[in-house]
Amino acid sequence: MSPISVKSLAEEPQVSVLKLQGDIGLDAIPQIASLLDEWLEKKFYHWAVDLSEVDFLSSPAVGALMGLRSRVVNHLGSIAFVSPGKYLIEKLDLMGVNKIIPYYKNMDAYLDYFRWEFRNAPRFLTLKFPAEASFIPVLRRLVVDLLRSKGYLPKEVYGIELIVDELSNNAIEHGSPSDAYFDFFLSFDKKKVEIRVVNSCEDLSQQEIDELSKKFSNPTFGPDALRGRGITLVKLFSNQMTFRIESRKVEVCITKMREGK
Amino acid sequence: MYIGGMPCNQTIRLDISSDDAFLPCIIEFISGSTKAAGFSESSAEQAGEETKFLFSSGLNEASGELLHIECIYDFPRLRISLLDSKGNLRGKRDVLA
Repeated sequence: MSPISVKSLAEEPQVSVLKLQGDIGLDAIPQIASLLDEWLEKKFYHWAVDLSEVDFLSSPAVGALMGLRSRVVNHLGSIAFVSPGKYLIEKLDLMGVNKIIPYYKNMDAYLDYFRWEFRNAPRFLTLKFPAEASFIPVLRRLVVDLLRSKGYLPKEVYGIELIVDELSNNAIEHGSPSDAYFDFFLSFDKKKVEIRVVNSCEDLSQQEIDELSKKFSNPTFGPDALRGRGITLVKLFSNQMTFRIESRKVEVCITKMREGK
Repeated sequence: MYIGGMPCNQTIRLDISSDDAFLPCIIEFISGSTKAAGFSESSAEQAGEETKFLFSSGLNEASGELLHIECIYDFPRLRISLLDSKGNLRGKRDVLA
């Protein structure tokens, strides 16, 4: 088998896997260049370079891969290194390659990245949490950290944090969860964030359900009121808010779209 | 919540996408929750370390799946368990207050 080969990735046929093996020196460059030309001509612009069996990657080989990056980026494509060994990582880092091309520990991790970046695959968090005020800052921080870890900007996260705070505090304070817990759901991708907060409560009469529904639909507060702005703020910071109130359960969902995505 | 000056039993159940980028977030979360549950600063730090161990192994073995973490605060003991998306126990660690 040739130490240099290209094939389409079975799980994501848009992705080409360039597999290199052994020592990749200057003599390998013409074959790499020829294969890349052939596949780029067929409009394959997403590349995973499998380095799991590479012992040595020469500077010209790194240069050829950098050249590939320039070409695919022009077509909104991507390139990533998969499974580089520890020794190879050290060498690549010394050359500053890590600042330009991401590495992934295996093909599954690469696929996670690819699907997040190019397939809009969402990430999920489901939490059953004590209905106590002391836990709310920890929950807020978790949501902020998760969004920031996937590239959301502080300005974008600010509104989400406020929504989490308001909905969670409402669930605790107004919901009086009968089981001392509430449920929190977060789903987000590169385009939007969805949050759902569910709390159980003591039996609500039909009149109480109607009043609560009215409060969620048309929140109002007096000019001197110190409280009661929560739902108004949630609506202001989200693109959509829906709710469902049953005799022993209150559920609020919001959707926040990212601007410019 | 405290009963007679002692934190009472609480449980946190969390399912999360197994994404490498989430590891520091989960460590911080479990550590913070441990403090919020009334455990000491050093116990919270240890809870963070144990979570790092468990979640890292989960990330390595169950890439692309949902991971389930359960924290049972049964003062003075915290038990952290990691299960995969099929409900199989992947590991558990105890922290004493």
